Parts: sequence; structure tokens; C-alpha cells
Amino acid sequence: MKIAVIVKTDFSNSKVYTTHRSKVTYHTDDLFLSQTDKNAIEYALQWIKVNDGTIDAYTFEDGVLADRVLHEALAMGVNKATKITGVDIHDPLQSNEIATKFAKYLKENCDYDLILTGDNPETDVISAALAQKMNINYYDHVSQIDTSFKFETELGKGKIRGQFKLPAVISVLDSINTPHLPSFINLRDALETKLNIVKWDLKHVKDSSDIVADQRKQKKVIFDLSQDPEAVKELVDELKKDGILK
Amino acid sequence: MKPVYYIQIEDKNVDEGHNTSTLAGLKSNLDDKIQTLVLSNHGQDLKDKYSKSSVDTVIYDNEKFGLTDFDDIIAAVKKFLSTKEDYLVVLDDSNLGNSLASRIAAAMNIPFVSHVEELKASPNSYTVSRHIAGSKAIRETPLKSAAAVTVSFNGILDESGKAKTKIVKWELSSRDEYAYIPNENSGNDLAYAKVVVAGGKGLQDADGFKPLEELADKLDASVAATKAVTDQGWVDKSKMVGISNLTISPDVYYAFGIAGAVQHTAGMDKSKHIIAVNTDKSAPIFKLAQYGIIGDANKVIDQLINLL
Repeated sequence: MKIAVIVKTDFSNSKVYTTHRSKVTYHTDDLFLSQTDKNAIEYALQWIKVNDGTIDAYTFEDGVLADRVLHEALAMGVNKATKITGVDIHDPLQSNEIATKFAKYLKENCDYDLILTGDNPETDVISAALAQKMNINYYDHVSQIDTSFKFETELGKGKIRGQFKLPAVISVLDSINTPHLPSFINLRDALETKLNIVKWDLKHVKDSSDIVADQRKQKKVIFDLSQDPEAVKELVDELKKDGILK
Repeated sequence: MKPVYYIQIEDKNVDEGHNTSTLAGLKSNLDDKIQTLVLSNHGQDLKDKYSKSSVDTVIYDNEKFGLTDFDDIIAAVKKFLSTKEDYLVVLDDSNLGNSLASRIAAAMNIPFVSHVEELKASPNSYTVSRHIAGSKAIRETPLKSAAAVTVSFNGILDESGKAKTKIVKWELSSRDEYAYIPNENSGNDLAYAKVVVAGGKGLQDADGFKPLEELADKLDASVAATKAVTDQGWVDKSKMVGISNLTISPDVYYAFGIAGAVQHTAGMDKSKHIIAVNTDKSAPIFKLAQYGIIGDANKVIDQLINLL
């Protein structure tokens, strides 16, 4: 059984980007391996405990963050770690190109039975594209899963239950298991492990997203019905103007 | 402006996948350029609903279709888009919408932007934006060619309109055996509502909730209440918002005759927009609200019903 896990930082922290007037600052100090990626690694460890095999971790994160999440993944029990540089995984306009190149890379270098990743609304755009390019199955928002191929996908008011088929790309939620904490010895060994580096160049992708500061001030519009008989109409107009009521 | 195709799933056995308030929000943004594509197992029943939406609609219909038939949904959308060159595919910002949109984008080899909060149209492109992880930073993405997005808009559909509605018979492929299991509280719309109209003791009695229900119909919203109201038996306890029952975070929360005790606000203070109506201008609810009226909630509800 050969398993790949795509790992990334926990991007749900609102302190990662701060703004001052038009300036946006990116803080990396609080970014570590995401919770759902830890769940994905834990699930991969369950598989190889039952069926033998290896787990490889890949990340598209940049610089120190790539090293940090891969070292954490290695400490949890991943066998090999690779960072892919020269891409912006957070930019939706790069996702298809990243998925195409990654699918080609995986086909040429390794033949995985299972590709896992933690569900994350900020960076999840490549999983479906990767499964499509590799022509393998895709399951997302997976909230329950075991090693006998049973899974549940979380929707809004219910869930889809069924059996998954390999090979597959699966994105998992943090409800699938409770990840173990790596020991200090494993963390020390992981920090000494050499990481593989794959360099890509996506300069040919001309369009890109911009990150800008939201400079709109929080509005406060309170009318007084006793002073203004038209208050309700004015409130409706205000809500329509601000796109809250259309 | 390039055309927009809004995808809806209508499985008569499942209460998710369709949302007229997003359609209304899109329509007011994009006017005539929008068309709805509905994947359904009861097309004839839906014809009237969609012809009143003022948005031209194509309904792919097969009585054996179910919401879990993702491969058939993607194949139908791909076939529908195959003759079109430049477009924007729009789905609801929900787990189902994001799952389908990511698969459609992958199948069509187009970019996918999820959780879009604002969509700006220009003659040959769209720019979509959203806040990053709840911060004040916004990612703005220009979409110059075909793309898929998921959005969460609110609006009231003008049902007086008339639009072309076409039903197309649809062949399903061999299907995987997946089962849809509804959540235990899936019958309580309040837990999933995008727009909530809540009433407190300021509505004075159980009869005060009848106009509130009428307003909820107009806004395609769910009715909620405070603990004081449900304790009086004016409204069912399942509709109570607050620390003793439901915690919700809808896009829009209207609070009528609610003072804003912390026991209640703990269940709704994560709402995106809060609109408060209360006679007491010093009521704590006004500290949370972005919009509001100081006045009698019953009078304001009546005026809103007449205006909308």
C-alpha cells in the first residue's frame, strides 16, 4: 500500500493576515501543520498498520512553513517528505496548473493507491482537479472512514454513506479520528531528516489573485421611528444598497 | 458580460441542493445574463416554480435521479456547457455546492473559487472576492475566462415574473450505491437558515408571531425566538436560539422586540449581519446590530410586509 498525504498549514487563524489601512501583513509564526492533515496522517498510519506500506508527505507551502509542516509530518510517522516550490497553492488561478504538474509528477515517480489531504476551505481547490487529471476516484468532506472502505461525506443537512474504491484522492475532516502526539525523540529525528525538494516554475500563468486590505468601516445605521415615519422604508433602501436585501 | 449558469439540485427526497435566495441575489447582480440549470427527479412539479423565477431555466429530468449521483450531475453539466465557450458556473456555498463545483471545474479544466462573497461584473470578465480566514484581508481574483464559483447571496425572488422553462429528458449512467442519510435535526430549518427572523417578548403575545411568520415567508427565512418566548409557549422550543438550545450563524439575523440578553446573543452573535428593532434605544442588541430601528417591533414588521 503506497499512500501520499498532501499537508499544509492551518490557515483558519484570523491572525495570519493583519491589515493597517491599505497594508496587508502576513504572519507565519502561528502557522503549523493543520489539524485535518494530522487526521489524514493518522488514518494513513492505520492503513499501513493493517496492510503494510509507506507514507509520503508532500507540501506546496513556501519557505519555512514547508519545512515546519513536513518535519511535523515526519515526526508523526511519515516515511518521506517532499516540498514543491515555485507555486502559490492559495491562488485559485494556479490550481489547475499545479494539479496537472503534480498528477504528471506522481505518475512518473510513484504509483499511489491512496492520496489523502485534510479538508481546508482556503486551500482545497486542487484535490478534485488532481483526481480528475489522474483519472482516479475523489471523495471530499469525509467525516467518517475506516480501513474496510466504508466512508461518510458530510453535507449540509445530512450525509452520504457508501464504500470507496481505490485508487482515490480523499479529503478528510477532523472527525475521522484523534491523531497521536509525536514524541520528543521523533520530533528531534524529524528535524534531522533531509527533505526532498522539487522546483517548479509557474511564471507562464499570467493572471494572479491579489490580496488587499478591506478598508470599509463597519457601518452602524440606526433609525428612530418616532422621529422619522419613513424609517422602515429607509432601512429597506439601506439594506438593498449594501446588498443584504436584493 | 459573459453568461452565468446557476446549478440547482432538486431531489424530491432530500431537502438540500436548491436555494432561491441565492438565485434572487444573483439575479439582482447580473440581471439578464443568468440562466438556471436544474438537475431533478420531478421536473414537471418544478416547472411552475422556476417559470415564476424570471430566470430562464433548463430542467434535466429523470425520475430515478438522486442527489448522490455526482457522476451523472457532472456529466450533465459538462454536456450542457460543451457548446459554450466563456461562462461563469455558480453553485451555492455549501458542502454540496463546493463538492460539485470543484468536480465541475476539474471536469471542464477551469479555475474554481470557493466561498465568494462579492462578484463584480465588467464587460469581459468578473472579479470575485472573499475575506481570508475571517481576517480583514481580501483575496481578489480576476476571472477573464470560464470559471466556477460558489457564492452565498441573499435576496427575495420576484415571483410575479415569467421565464422560459424547458424540461430535457436525461439518461443516467450506471450508478454507484450511495445512500443519503438526513441528520437528526435536519427537519429544523433554523439550524441551516441563511436568513433568520427572531422575535422576543417585545412582540407582546403569541399572535405577534403570525405577522413574523408572514415576513419570514417573504424573506425566505426561518423563524426563531428567545427563551422568554418559548417558555411562555408562544413558539415551539425547537425555535429557541441561545445557550439553552441552538447556536446559529446565518448571513442575516433580524431581531424584533429582543433586548439582547447574553443568554440569547451567545447563540446568534456570529451572524454576518444583525438588524435590530426595539423600543429601548439602550437595549444591548443595538451594540451588536449594524442596522436597526428604535420603535415598536409589531409596527415595523407590518410595514416591512407591505414594503417587500
